[in-house]
Amino acid sequence: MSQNELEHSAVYRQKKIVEILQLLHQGGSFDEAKAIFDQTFASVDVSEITSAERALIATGLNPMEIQHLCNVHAAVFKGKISDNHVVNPVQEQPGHPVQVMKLENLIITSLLKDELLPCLKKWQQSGTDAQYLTRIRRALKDLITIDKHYARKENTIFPLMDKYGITAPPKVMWGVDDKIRGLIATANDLVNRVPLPDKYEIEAAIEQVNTEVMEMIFKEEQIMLPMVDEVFTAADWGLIASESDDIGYTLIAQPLPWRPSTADLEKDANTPKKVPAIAAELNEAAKALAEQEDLARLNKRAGVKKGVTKSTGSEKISTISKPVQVEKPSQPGASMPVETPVIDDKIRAEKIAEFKAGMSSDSASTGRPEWTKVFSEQPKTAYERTKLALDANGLAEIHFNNGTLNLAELTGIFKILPLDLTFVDANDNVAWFSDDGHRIFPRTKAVVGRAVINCHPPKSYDKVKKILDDFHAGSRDQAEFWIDFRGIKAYIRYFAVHDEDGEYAGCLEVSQDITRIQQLEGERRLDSED
Amino acid sequence: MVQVIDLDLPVYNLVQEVPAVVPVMVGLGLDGVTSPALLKTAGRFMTLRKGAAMKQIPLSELIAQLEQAGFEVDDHESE
Repeated sequence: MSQNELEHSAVYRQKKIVEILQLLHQGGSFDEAKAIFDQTFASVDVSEITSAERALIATGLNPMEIQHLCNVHAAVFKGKISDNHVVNPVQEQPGHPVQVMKLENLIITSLLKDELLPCLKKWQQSGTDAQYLTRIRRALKDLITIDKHYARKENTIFPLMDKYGITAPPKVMWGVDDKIRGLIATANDLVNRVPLPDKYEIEAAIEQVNTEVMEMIFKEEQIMLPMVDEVFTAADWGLIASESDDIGYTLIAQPLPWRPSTADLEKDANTPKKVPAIAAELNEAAKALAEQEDLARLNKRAGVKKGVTKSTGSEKISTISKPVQVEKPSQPGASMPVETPVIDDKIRAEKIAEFKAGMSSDSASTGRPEWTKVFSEQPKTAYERTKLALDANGLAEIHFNNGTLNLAELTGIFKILPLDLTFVDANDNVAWFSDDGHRIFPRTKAVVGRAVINCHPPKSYDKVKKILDDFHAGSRDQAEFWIDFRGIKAYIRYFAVHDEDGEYAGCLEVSQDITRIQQLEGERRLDSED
Repeated sequence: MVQVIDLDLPVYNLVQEVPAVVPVMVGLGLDGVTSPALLKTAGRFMTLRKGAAMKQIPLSELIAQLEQAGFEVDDHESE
């Protein structure tokens, strides 16, 4: 076949695919579409379908429609799509994080190839056609939302890769993501500057954006996704999907909710994913590294005992993370009247009497029921260590030095606190974050338990590490930053947290939107008139 | 003996077999190959064919560069 014929055939194939997609889009019958397909093709490439879809977007098809189209075309072209790796049908399901990611990439590609670049070219040629400049501005403004696509990847997929020991690629990729964000911001700034900079400067900036964005799409789809496919379980994908809505999407509507099927979850459970060479090797490396780190940390501390008490403490807490009935403590000396939810005054009096009668203060702290402490008639001058106890209904509550909160109250307080808190434990792993639904910086459950250092863009890696090192060493106990971020002033503080014995317990990150606080003037008092 | 380069062999394996290919890859902008941590992970999924596509280098140019560096290229498609 001559080159000419080949091209002709490629164009012909493309036309046919567009025809099929159009037919489907206009509500044509599935069988009819399938018939055209079977007559024309033995197989098609994924790239052929995606360029056909882009052609449709270019002719004015709402990109949102593509999502529906994708589902149908998958059925029509089923089994006939040749790809250089095996297509995983689960990952083609609407709403699956992989499907969503690829769909966004399709739209982003179309935005670049069918709008931004053609407009740039026409604007260059036309001299001063304002219409094209307007379209360039709009396209760049749309492209800025690629931030959502990257943020989802960085906050849902990267932490899991990290968990499986794949640490280098996310680190490198995050650096490039940030570079691309910067390039888009620069290009956007250039086209909105007055007076307008040199056309060639704008052209160079936009072309660099195009090159880098397209290269990233390639890396995501050809390297990262096949790589995570080897290690991620159905449950992992489920976690990613469930955390995605909060971060948002790039140029597509919120996808259908996706959950792994029970069958897939069971399959994972019954046949633990055969550990591929890559994961096995990396896990070994990661484990060795983690052990080294723990050793180093333990050695750094004079009192090794500390590490032990801390971990038992957190275990206890973790068993009652929900406001449910607490199990009876196992020590016989500490048995509690859980079966009698109502503790009347008589029992209470007995308990107090029992306490007063015999127990030394030493045995009291270990042997007597925690709740009796509240009713202790000892003068409360000394600092009371925080204690976990059961209330009259057998629900857990926490006794602080200055009062008592039950778990529901505590949960409510953290939910409403006008601050975003993230707590990183003494081993520099993310332990917990507060969520009022409006966090300034996205945090996802996938980061919990992961090294905090891997939850930051590489450009801030050194800074974060220095702060944590200083906190560990005790050479400082706080650090603060304030930045302009998406139209708000964000105030970010880090505090070294110490336990009641003064041992380093971790780092608390407190982020706050202080835009409004900065604008407050004069005063509004409770007795002011409204 | 002329070393044969397989365009579809994962870079991780390729570099073990033919270490001399590294400078050529760096010359093409595929500098991730110099990071052992990346090579061990992403390198198992990257091939020279993919690398060329990613950097938008025509396959013919990639082959020409490799041949110029003294390698023989095994391009499965031309068989």
